[in-house]
Amino acid sequence: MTALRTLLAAALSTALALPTPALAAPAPAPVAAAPVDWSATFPPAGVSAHLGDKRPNIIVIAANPGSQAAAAAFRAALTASKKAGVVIDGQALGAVDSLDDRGIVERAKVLPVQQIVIVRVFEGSPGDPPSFIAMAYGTDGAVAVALSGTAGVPLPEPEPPTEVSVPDPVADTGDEAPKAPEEPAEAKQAREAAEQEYATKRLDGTWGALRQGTPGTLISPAQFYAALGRDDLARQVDKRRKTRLGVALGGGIAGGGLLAVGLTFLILNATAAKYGPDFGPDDPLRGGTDRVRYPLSMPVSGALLGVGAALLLGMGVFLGVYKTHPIGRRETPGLIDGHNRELRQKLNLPPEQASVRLAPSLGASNGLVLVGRF
Amino acid sequence: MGRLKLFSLLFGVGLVSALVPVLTGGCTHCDEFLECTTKPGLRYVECGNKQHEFNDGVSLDDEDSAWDYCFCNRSRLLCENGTSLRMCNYMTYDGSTAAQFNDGTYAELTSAVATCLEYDGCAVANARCNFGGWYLSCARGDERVYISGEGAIFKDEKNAVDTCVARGSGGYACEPIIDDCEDLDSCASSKACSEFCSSPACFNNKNAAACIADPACRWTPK
Repeated sequence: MTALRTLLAAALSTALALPTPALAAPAPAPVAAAPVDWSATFPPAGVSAHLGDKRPNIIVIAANPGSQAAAAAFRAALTASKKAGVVIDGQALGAVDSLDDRGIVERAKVLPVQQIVIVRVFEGSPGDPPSFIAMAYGTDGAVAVALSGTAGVPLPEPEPPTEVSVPDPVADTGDEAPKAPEEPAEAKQAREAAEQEYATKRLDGTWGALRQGTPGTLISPAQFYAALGRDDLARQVDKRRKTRLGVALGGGIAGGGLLAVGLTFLILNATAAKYGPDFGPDDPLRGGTDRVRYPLSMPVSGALLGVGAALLLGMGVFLGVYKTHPIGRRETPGLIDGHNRELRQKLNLPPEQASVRLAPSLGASNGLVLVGRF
Repeated sequence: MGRLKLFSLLFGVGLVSALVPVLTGGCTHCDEFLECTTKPGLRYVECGNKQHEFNDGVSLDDEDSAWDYCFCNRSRLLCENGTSLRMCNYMTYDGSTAAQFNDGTYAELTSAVATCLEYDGCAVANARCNFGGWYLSCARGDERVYISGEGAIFKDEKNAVDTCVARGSGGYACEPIIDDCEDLDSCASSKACSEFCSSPACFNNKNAAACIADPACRWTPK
């Protein structure tokens, strides 16, 4: 069991470590048509151990030159195992040499099959037999099983198969690991560097709290759009921020000042009768002032109060509508996902696993946001 | 939170800028009014140290000017010897009177005016006036003259009374100032006493002019 697991892990890590273009590209050198007994390599019990009792329909695809014989032997072993339903070859897909596994799965999943097995054969050193990798995927793209071995060496009778998840690399189990295809040190270093760069440059967060990197530092909208490479939006952010600041300062000072002045003199005028001059109830002239004279009369104070309140209200409405972000709240997750996906592609990293998490959202509507990636 | 702070700051700036003139202007509490004597019905209130308000609409900053406007008439009384004096009546304030001569000296009003006009004597009369109104009644032998607070000299007392009464429609009534018509020189001189020379019937005077002309009555605010 341990040996098989180690074998599978090594095979999978090798497959993952290979840059996608490398997978997509044809094998460096076609395998010579040496007489290899692939039927001995793929015993029925060995290739069908992971199938269970559901008898799924399976397509077996030869994904690189020289792998046709291995794929045919694999298909024959599956049929002989009687654990599979219909087992078909990859003719219906046309040429797949230039496709990576994801592309092949995308193309094959429309067929009436439940599993997609992609077989690749690699030439060994001079005098050594070729080796193979067989990746079995579900139609959702998830890896069902990964097999690897050497031509002529029968796949061992496996214990019940082990599901392998992507992209978690399986830890090296120690010295007892068999000599499976190991990731070259340079490739590993490059992959780690790419992962580190991705962790630094990936975007996250919500419309009101954008983050970059892992675990994520808060960034401004301008930094966000600059990270996306959308300089046009970054310029709009800058312009919008200046507009908002101008409106806030102008409206705030003018509105707040007018409101305060109006309110102050309104109160002073309203209370002036109490503290102002009192000429008696029998004032015979009644032509004079009956209250303290303030610079602003009651009507003028009321008008200023109204204008100030209207300015503040208008400013609030404007700031509520005219946000710093030139795009809508709902477009942000798509931009973030697109950026992260492109970044991973650019760095030759496999897609991220599906994830669901809750994130705090601060802004116009506070609360929690359910963020999912599938 | 940041927006709230910004609004608070702006509102605070506006409020302070609005309140500074008021706060630096001091308290605006006003004293009780004083009845002035320069014009019947004129009243004066001092608010704070700088505001001096009159109920005819005049507002003066200087206290001395306000004091003069309230108690000292502007026109000067020309004396027989060529000098002149200004009459000040503080009776509604402290009961005193004063005459201010050209040279700035002061004297008691009635004696100063009598000397000025070469009369035997003068007396302040305000029985037929309302509010703080007044006039001088001066005698030289059997001759009598009446001098208004503005310095106008009248032979007929009712003309002097006319200068010391505040009129007004509504809120006024013609009230008796004597109990018995016998106190008058002649009941015929009073409409209130001409019919029955006993208690004056001032209500017979239907308007301010008739009441002012009646020596037994006064045009009085209710």
